[in-house]
Amino acid sequence: MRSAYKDVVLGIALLAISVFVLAWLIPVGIDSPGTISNRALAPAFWPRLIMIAMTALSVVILLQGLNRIRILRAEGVEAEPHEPNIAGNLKTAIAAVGLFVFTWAMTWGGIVVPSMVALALYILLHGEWRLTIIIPVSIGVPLALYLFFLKVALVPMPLGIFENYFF
Amino acid sequence: MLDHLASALTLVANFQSILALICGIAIGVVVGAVPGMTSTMGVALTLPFTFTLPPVTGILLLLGVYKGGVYGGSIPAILVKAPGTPAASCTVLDGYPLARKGEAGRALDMALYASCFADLCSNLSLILFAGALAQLAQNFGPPEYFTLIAFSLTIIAGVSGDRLSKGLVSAGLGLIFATIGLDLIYGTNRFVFGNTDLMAGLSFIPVLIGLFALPEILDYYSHPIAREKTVFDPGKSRATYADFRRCFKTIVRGSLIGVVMGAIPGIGGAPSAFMSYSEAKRTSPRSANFGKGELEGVAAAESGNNGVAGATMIPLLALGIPGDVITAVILGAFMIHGLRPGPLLFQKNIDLIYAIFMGIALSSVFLFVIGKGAIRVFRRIASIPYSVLFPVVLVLCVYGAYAINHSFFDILVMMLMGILGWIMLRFDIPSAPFLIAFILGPLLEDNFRQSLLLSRGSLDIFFRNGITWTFWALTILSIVLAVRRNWKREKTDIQQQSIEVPKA
Repeated sequence: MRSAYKDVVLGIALLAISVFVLAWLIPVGIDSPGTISNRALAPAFWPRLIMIAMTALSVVILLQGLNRIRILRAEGVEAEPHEPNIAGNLKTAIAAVGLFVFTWAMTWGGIVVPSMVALALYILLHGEWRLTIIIPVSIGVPLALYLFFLKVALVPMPLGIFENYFF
Repeated sequence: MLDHLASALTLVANFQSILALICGIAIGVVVGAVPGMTSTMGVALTLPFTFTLPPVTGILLLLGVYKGGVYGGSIPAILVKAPGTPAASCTVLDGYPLARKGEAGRALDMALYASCFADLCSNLSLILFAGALAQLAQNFGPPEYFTLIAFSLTIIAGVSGDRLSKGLVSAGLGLIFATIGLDLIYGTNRFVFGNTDLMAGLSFIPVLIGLFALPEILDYYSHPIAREKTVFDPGKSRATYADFRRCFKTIVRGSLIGVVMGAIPGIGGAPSAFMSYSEAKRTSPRSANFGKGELEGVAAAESGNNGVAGATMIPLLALGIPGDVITAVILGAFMIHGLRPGPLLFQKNIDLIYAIFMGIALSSVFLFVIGKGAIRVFRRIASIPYSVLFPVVLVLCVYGAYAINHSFFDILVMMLMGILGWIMLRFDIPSAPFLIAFILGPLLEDNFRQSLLLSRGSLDIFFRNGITWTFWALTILSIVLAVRRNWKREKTDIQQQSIEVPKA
């Protein structure tokens, strides 16, 4: 039953996104040249075609979800009890937001040091508190990767404000 | 011909290429052996390390990861009842009961022998058939390619999991993301919004890494993977020559099933393993023992599973069409090195093709040696805690995404794709169709528009000869079969739910 409700939510969300892309994003986001001999050659033709198909698909998913709910209800099936995993979802949300903080930190701190900090924090977030694991891994792995890219693959990695402290 | 072979030999018979192949197989076996990590994830994470390598060396590294990953999945399937890859799920049926009987070493040996033999057969089929298929495709123009790619997109049905509609949504997302950047014909902006980083479109690697590595890492925080407590020791039991001879017929049959299934786009290793297993069970005099710890069952599953690995490269090398998601990644690797698989590659870079063939043939031998070693060290691999492993993979993703264009924008794209991939995971939307459509989308659009330019706007060009008609017929047939299969699955699913869930 839960998967049926999930489908309904997904169908509605996809429908809204598809309509938004068709009605606003394509007209605003795609530049078209003045004269086009054939409409199928226009830059907006292909994206529009894809989004029309997506709109149809979102309706299909929505109807499939509603149909499942109708059949299961007719058979007297109850929605199974569901306890939200608050702690787990909170951890995932922190990890997801952390990705953006990590990206932002790299723009001024380079890749290596923010990676060391992020690695330690992500390990901690997983519930691993043993410093004998956290410290060597969070320092060793980013450093080893930095040296690999620099010396073996010959790809220089940015060090940001820590430029003078590395090899 | 001899000149090309000699040139190919110099490309492959050097320290760097051999080392890349060995490292690739070792990485693949480790990745395959860790439940929760997939071969696709392994190939995606290895891809950034190939940029600075010569094309043949880079591609051999990735092929090594692919082949190692396919075999590696069988080790935890036998020792901890947790298949490392979906394709190894069939190996659990007899492998784990054998481990419980104290014959884990025998089961692992047989899995390795069957895997290597099937891999060798699959590689030979690639060498024999890819050239012939490429020759057939030499006369293809844009309309033929358009219909071929349209047919290839129906492989999405094969990688859509339980729900075709969700697979198609994923493909739609892949197609629309592929349109970002400058228009191929008019050079105008599409979804660029003044951002110069978007003008060249989204890079393939950040999208790939974001979709296939990050979602698992994020999801682990809310849905930790339970680690099996019992890891059986391989012990001293070994598969004997008599065991191998007894299972030989099954291994040959499984290898052939794998080759045929692998050459058909979209089928993959798991169905092939199950088909090989059910055939072995049907014909074996010991069919009553299947599922209770029968060595022949392990041989059947592993030969069917590994038989696909080389054969999936046939449509990729001959036509430029990926047979599954990993070959789609390898197609991306070719493109990064400025190469486009297909008939032209056979005409212009035949030495490169021969070099890949030679490397692939060698891979079966290396797989055997490395596989033997991996069995012994699996206990150590299994003891790496996920709490450390996944954050390390995250850092690896960041370095890999940056290394392509030396751009923080690519890291941002990877992070956003990771979050999109996680949302898709929560809504049971498979990510494989996204990637295949993302790669094939520009080719489909380009060939469609080029055809229309050739015909001055007439759609008749898409029906101009027998080749296009054949591909249309195959496309329609493939769609009808997929819809029918999906319809049946949907009905069974509802019936099961109404049986399993308590009624009011």
